[in-house]
Amino acid sequence: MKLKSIFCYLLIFALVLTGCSGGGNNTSNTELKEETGNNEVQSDPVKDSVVFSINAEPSTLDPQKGNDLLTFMVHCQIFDTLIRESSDGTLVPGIAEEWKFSDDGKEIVFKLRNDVKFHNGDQMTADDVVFSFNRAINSTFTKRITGSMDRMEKVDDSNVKLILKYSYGPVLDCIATSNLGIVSQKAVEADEEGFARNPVGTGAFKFVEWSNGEKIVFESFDDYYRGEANIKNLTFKIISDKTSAAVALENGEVDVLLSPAEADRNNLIDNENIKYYETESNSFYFISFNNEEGLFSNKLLREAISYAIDRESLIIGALEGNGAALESAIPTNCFGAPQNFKGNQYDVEKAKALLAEAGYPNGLTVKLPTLYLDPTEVLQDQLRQIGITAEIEQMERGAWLQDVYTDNKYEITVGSYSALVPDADQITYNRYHGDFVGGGNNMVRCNIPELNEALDLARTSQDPEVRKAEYTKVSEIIRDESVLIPLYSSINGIAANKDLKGVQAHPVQRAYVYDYSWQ
Amino acid sequence: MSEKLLEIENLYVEYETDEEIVKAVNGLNLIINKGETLGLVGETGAGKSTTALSIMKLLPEKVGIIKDGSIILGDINITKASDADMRLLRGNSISMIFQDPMTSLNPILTIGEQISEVLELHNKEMKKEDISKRVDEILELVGLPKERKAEYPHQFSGGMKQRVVIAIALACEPKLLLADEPTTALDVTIQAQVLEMMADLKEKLNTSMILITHDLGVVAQTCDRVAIMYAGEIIELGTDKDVFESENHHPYTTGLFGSIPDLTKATKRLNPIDGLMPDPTDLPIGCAFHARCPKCMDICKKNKPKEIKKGSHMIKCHLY
Amino acid sequence: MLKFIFKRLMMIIPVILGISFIIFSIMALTPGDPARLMLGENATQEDVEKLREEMGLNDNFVVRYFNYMKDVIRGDFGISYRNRIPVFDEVFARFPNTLVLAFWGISLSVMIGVPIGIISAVKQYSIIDTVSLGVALILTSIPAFWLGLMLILLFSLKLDLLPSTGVETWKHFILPSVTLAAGTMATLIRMTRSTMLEVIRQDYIRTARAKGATENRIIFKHALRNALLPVITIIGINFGFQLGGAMVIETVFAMPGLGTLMITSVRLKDTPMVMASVLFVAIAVSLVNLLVDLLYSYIDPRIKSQYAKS
Repeated sequence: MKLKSIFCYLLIFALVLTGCSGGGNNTSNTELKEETGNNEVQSDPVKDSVVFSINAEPSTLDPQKGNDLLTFMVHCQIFDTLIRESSDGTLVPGIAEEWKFSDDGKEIVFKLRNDVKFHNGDQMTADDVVFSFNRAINSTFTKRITGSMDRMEKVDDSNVKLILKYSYGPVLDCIATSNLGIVSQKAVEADEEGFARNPVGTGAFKFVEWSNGEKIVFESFDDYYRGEANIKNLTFKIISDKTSAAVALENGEVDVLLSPAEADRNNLIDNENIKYYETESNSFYFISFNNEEGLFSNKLLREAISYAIDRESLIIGALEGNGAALESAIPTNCFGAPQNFKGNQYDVEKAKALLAEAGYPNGLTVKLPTLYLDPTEVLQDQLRQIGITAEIEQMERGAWLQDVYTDNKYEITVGSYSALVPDADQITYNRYHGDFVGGGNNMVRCNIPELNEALDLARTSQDPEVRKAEYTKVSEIIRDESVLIPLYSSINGIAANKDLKGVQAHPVQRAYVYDYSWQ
Repeated sequence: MSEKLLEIENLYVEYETDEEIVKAVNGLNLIINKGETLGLVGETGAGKSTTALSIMKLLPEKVGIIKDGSIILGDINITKASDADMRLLRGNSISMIFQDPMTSLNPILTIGEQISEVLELHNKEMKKEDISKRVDEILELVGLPKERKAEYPHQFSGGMKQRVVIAIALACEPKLLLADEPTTALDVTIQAQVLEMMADLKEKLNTSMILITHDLGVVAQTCDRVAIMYAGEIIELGTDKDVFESENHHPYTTGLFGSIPDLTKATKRLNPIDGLMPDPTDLPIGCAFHARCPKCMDICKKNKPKEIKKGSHMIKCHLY
Repeated sequence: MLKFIFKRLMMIIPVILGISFIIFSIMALTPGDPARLMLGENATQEDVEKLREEMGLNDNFVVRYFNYMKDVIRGDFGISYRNRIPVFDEVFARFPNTLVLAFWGISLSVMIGVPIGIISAVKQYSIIDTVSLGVALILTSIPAFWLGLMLILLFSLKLDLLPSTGVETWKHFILPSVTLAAGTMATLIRMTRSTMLEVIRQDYIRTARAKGATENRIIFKHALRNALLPVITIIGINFGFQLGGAMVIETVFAMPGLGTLMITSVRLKDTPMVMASVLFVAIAVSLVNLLVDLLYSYIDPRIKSQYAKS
């Protein structure tokens, strides 16, 4: 019957197509002429491979164009920086052997190692370093990191000088981030756009292939200046559904899972073959007010709310206990976070009294836009206890960024910040300084002269003790004026096969696969 | 003496649904001889189609049941035959054509395919070219151009479709053809053509035919013998002459003839028979017609009448 | 007939125009700034503004639409806002995964669903009939992601027979296809059953029986082909939906297909990517519809003559 034969042909066609597409789709790799080792995912990993599950795709592999934590994490494997973060979080020499500050703190001279090679075999030179830095300084994506920098100059073949616009406390931390990863000038100039899909760096892992939406594959760089990595094959597998990722970890299809879902945490901890690592993150959640216009320009009202918040219940209610209460506007792992800082303590009576004093003895109704439904719902309940009715408006990210974050069309909201670099400046300066009101920076719209002064001093002082003292002052002012109410820091988790050593959780979700090894 | 082809004895057929039991055929006796055309006449619901379907054993599955009696074709006992046996008979020894030609043909097969199908089913060894030739022959026989055999049913008119149906039925030269109101759905002129063709074929192939109809005119034209059915029984049976010209009739027959409008006379009203056919789920005791019979007697209400024969004429009535 | 096909292909053009305008409007008029989404929360507003200028986002909406369509006509679907690669390459690369998944999903549901529907109809009211209707009901009620996860837990975790995520080998397509098929199978079973029931009661089936045809012949040669028409419509519609990206399934099984692509692109307001994906799917669905209509004419000669006349 004709129908039957048509069906047979379709079947054959489909099988062929399955065979073809089953291999995933490769972006054309014209520059890297080497054999792209097809790293098939096996359920029993060879003892020098790691399959790393991530829940989104990095936006780019160009370090000077990355701007989210996940992308940075992937960049860490490919690129090195002048200063390196060691596994215990301290800063140690990386590509630079040593460095020296000028007296005014506005210039730093770095002495470079001479044994660093690029993945394409080229020797890394001072020119590459200068090129990379200037490229970062001029990039729109990296302002947070390079904002304080003016330019990098070559001194000689082994030395480079970084010139800053002002003395910047956390500058070394910034230099240790992947935005300032050293790239091959030759490779970038040959193909600026293509570099993002075909990077050439000096890091422990060399790029092999990128199957869009599926995986990114690396292999160890044998000429790495610190010695070749224990892990020879590294595959980042993109699994956006956290439950599927947890299952994949449990049945051995992946070896590491970054940021497992809350719901899976207990299962994974209980699983004998899996080890779960956690640490307090440098992100925190807060209640933000529009201090300038609207209901909450009334300080008493803001203060009233600050006394109505019970952080412990909030953490239990919204996170099942997986959070760390934060009372200062600076996450605990950031330099400058005041020790044992106390915010306004939970006191319902005081809150009600303040509310009455503010002019609302019978309570009031507020609109509460938010991205984070769970904590907001608990807060809504806590606010109800003092007579405030909050109407929750759950928003989609793009919309919230536009209306609330950028245009500041809000009165009260629940949001989060993260510090890209573990230093208080990163998470306070642009956020609370009067010069930066609005436009996606200072969304509380506050302009307090003492606060501005403290922030400026903390930023530029070269004395760590001075900086710490100023940040304590910053925290106090924020508390006293109830500019914004910090709630809690999230916990960053990472789960891995128990035989994989060297895995660590990190406050900004970095992972250094170079440190991993199979037992 | 004509030879017996089909003998139906004491046939009882019922339709059993969840709600009720419909007694469609109640003690039917009938003999068809070779080469003869029998007209089976009666009102709608008399049980004519059921009788024909029973002969073919095409009653609706699970619902239509032959409760009692026997149907014997030649030396084959149809009532006891298996499904497989029946399949060999259908289309081959017995064929049936149905009322509505518009829907009797499969719209997605060519008429050539549908005719050759019946040939293939019953002539497994016949070669393709032979079958094709035979199809051409038959088409010619029913008056259709053989060049059109690759066309689809929707490309033919009603009358032509019925010819195709007839062609399918007669392709294997069956001994008995059951025609269930074959011309009812056609207009009068076509009706005449089709009937003529059927008579012609009957002559050529010596096929026996049971022609079911409620049109007495058609019966007079084409049939050798007539059987009149009422409430699942044959209440009068005889040759054309017996039924149309004799003096003695079943009161129902009289009523039937009387109710035919006469074009020559001017009457104010038609003369229907009073009342309606009894509900087949609830048949009366005694004679099935007694409630409507102008000549009803006491005995009619209690006892079923027997078949009274006088030569070739049979009447089932207490009057005789 | 060729004229018919040609006319239908031409009709795809207004479809594309309409869809592109609607999608473009939605993307442009809903809140969310692609530049801000690209640069992240930590970027300053000046940087965001600079990027907006570069990307031409500050132009008037109509101007932007025309510029976009101008390029599309030349075959240039633009560059993804997010990762700066030509949009068409990405869509084209991902499409096979979705296509294969949709194909196997449909095929499985047809290969299992249609026969069950036929058996149900032929043996109406029997145990088989009741059981299949029951199964159909259960299948429609199960959400795809739940079924997918359950299958993963069983076959991947407990039994370790099949992989759970990715698209490397043909084995990776088994669980997703089964999950996809389960959802559409139910409709097919019921549709096949009801059309078969209808067809079996037709007069021409009675004619076929009167010819002495066997039950099998009646079912397959006479009844089935007639019953197929509405069934094919359902198959076509379902296939179209699945080409649109069985998003849930692609997410659960971590398959890089059009579904996941569209979700991420919409979230990031990556207009060129969204446009290209949607247009791709729209064209594919139109072609599938055309194929279905052609299949009709192949099956039912009455429809064939209708097409020929038009």
